[in-house]
Amino acid sequence: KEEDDEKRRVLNAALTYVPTLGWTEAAIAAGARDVNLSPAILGAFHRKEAALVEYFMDESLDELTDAVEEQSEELEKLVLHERLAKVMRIRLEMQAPYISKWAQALSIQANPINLPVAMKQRAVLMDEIWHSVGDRSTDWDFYSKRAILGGVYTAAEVYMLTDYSPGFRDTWTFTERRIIDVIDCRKTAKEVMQRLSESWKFRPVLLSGSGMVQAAQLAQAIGAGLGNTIASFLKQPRPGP
Amino acid sequence: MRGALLRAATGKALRARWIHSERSSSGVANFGFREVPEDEKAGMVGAVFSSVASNYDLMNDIMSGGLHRLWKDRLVSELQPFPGMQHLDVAGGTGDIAFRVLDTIYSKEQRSPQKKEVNEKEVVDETRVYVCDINASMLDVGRQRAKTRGLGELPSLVWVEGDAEALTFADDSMDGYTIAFGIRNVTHIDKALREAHRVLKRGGRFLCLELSHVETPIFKQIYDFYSFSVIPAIGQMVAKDRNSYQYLVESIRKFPKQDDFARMIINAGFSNVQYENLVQGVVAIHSGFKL
Repeated sequence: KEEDDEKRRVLNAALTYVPTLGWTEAAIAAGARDVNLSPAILGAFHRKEAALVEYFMDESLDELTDAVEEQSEELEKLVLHERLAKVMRIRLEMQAPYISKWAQALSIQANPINLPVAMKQRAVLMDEIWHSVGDRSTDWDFYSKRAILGGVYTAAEVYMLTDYSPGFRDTWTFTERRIIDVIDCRKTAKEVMQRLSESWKFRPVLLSGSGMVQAAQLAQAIGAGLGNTIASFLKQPRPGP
Repeated sequence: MRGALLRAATGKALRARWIHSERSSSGVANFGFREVPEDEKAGMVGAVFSSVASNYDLMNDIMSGGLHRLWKDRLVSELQPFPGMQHLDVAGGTGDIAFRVLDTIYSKEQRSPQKKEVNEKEVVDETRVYVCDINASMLDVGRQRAKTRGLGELPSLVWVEGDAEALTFADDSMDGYTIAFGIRNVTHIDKALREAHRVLKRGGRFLCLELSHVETPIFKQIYDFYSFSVIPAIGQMVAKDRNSYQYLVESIRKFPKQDDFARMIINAGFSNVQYENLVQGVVAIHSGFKL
């Protein structure tokens, strides 16, 4: 619809003012002036600063999809964990110009009114990242994968806020290490499940003491790697069939 | 129409009796529950307001039980005025809305810590709130009240005598347009809406606060009783003017319902048209944007 297009033009113009004015109504008003609209248009945005942040998240997702397509050849040459790190890096680099005000954006997203939309956008982002590294599985791992990656991404995002190394070098190192930790954990879970299903006939052995201890340790490791609360984990929308 | 030309020429609301001695063929309008020739309506409305002007606040308090202040606060908070704004308040002769807009802008100026590079005072000085009313007596009352509030010499506040159906402002010049408790008195509502659309800038906001229709079953009966039995009686006792109050109450019932009025606003060219009922529909705030 026409109004939505106009609103998006305003938000797009507003992004250029974010580094100086922050994620605020003032930035949106300045954006409105740039596209020859009266700042009174602010009244049409229901959750003003949140609208700006959400617009940025949506735009970045589209840019990520495009960038991944362009660089698909280079990505294919990499190992899984390197691929994940590269895609995450591409996405996080989009936040670099706004990094001085990104903490503000995070606090806006954490606001209870804005939280549902923010969580949904992040879930979609994680799906997109997994999809872009060539993961097509639809087994039970889906939710844990999304949650695990979400944890890594959020940790990297927060780390980037106080990273003053040139080109955010330290953040990329951090990201890669966290992904490596998590991939191992994921493989272990998958392996265990496979072996469990294969070896159902050996259930007397598995139900022995050592089997139970191993299962408990595994659960702990997954829990630590998840990095998200159970509540947000459960809120993620279900995938299609 | 001869009536319209005469109004424009003299700029004052004319007494109905001695000007319109002939019936024009242009049609009839509603003056409360009575039907009157179209070109007489403005004059008759003018007479009503000239007589109630000095007691306008009192009249509002009687009709709304003091709630009109809160409704007007709500209207201005929806508007979200900003420094440097060009705002037009139509049919707001006594200045209620204009004062609230200015107060909001000045309090915002003090609170904003971040505009260091722009000269704040300059931006605030660019603010213009125009108060347009067809009735000179109402404007006089408004100017008086501005003086007592200390806003008498303020360049940001401009009093203009004019007709909502034929505004003298330039196209695309206003960030905001408000009309509070005024649009039901206009003879051709669609013309007023089109004028509002014309003077607003792109992205500008139209806001209308008006007494509207109550549909909730029991409350509707109470409200009707209060309107038709209580208000004119109090009007007679307090302001000695039963007829003006009878007109006012009737004109509310004749005004289009919320959805119909919203449709009229859309037809005038506005987008994103919404309305909000206050007190179950006793009052409604309609909002639209020019895009």
